[in-house]
Amino acid sequence: MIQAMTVYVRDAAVEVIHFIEICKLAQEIHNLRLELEQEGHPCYQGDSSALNESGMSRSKFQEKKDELQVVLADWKERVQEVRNEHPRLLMLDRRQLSQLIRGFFVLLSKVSNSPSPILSSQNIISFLLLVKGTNL
Amino acid sequence: LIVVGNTIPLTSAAPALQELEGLFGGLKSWQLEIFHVIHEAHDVIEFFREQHYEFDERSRMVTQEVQGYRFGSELVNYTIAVKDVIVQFLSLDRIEAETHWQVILTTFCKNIGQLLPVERKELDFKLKMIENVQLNIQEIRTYFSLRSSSGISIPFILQLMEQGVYQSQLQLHPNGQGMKNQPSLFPSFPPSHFNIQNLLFFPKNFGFRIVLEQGAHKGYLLRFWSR
Repeated sequence: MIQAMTVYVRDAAVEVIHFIEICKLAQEIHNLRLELEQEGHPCYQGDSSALNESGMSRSKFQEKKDELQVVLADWKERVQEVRNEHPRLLMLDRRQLSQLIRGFFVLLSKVSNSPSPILSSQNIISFLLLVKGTNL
Repeated sequence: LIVVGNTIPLTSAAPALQELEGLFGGLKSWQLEIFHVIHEAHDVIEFFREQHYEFDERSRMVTQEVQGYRFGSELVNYTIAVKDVIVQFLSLDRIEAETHWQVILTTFCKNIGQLLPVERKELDFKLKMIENVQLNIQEIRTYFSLRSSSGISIPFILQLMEQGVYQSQLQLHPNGQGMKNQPSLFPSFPPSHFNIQNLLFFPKNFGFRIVLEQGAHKGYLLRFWSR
């Protein structure tokens, strides 16, 4: 089993330039996903996903990167808007906000399936208590 | 030695033999065959001289790489098995010039005697191993060369990785964040230098962590670690 390998590649090594470009793009996509997780986006919390299918071209990687940049900018904007509109949400940090949103998702899914949604609302009570205090 | 002409008086044969044995550090006559074998194994000595302190670390990696490949596995095992004897010969490089030759010879033979089997059959096997390493030294050099990585060419690996899948794992994942490349074992087209040996060496289930660094001279350093 190969345990470690260091390869030095010069500009002239045409055969590996394509690999390096894709590798750089994959790293940038990974960094964007980390930032989305950091910003509290509920779809990127502790996620582990394949970035590509086998043999995906450089342009597809680029598309994926552009797409994630839009998602990140959009998410930041939405969070800012919501906080402007509901300043009490500033009491939740990004991760708590993300958990609150997840809690809502779970609650909504249970509402459609369960006759007693009140029991499921425990998922978000703790966050609401944080934001609203005891006067719920 | 007490030698008169071409003959030795019978009475002095026993002490002469004892003196001779002492001079050769207690080596048995059949163990002296090592000098003949070593004389023919100059490439092996040169190989260990080049490897220096890196041999042990590299041999651990190479041993794992050639697992399941009988010929390669035997060669690597032979190379590891003869190392201690060859290193004794390399120690002669470091002997100080003013040391008396008798001291050198006796000390050296004593050391080498401790490493060589006394039993004829075992000794012959050890000497055969050295001969075998000498005979296949080019193959062994390839195994131990980190640049060629046991016959897997870099373009071949890169092609597998290029067609592989990048797995991105985020910070809150139970195993922490990281990005790995799971190489494709079925490249869409084999490179021109492809040979079946590449696949024999290639582990079936592994992924690479990759770090891409902008190096000097507008090049890149790619560092890979297997998981």
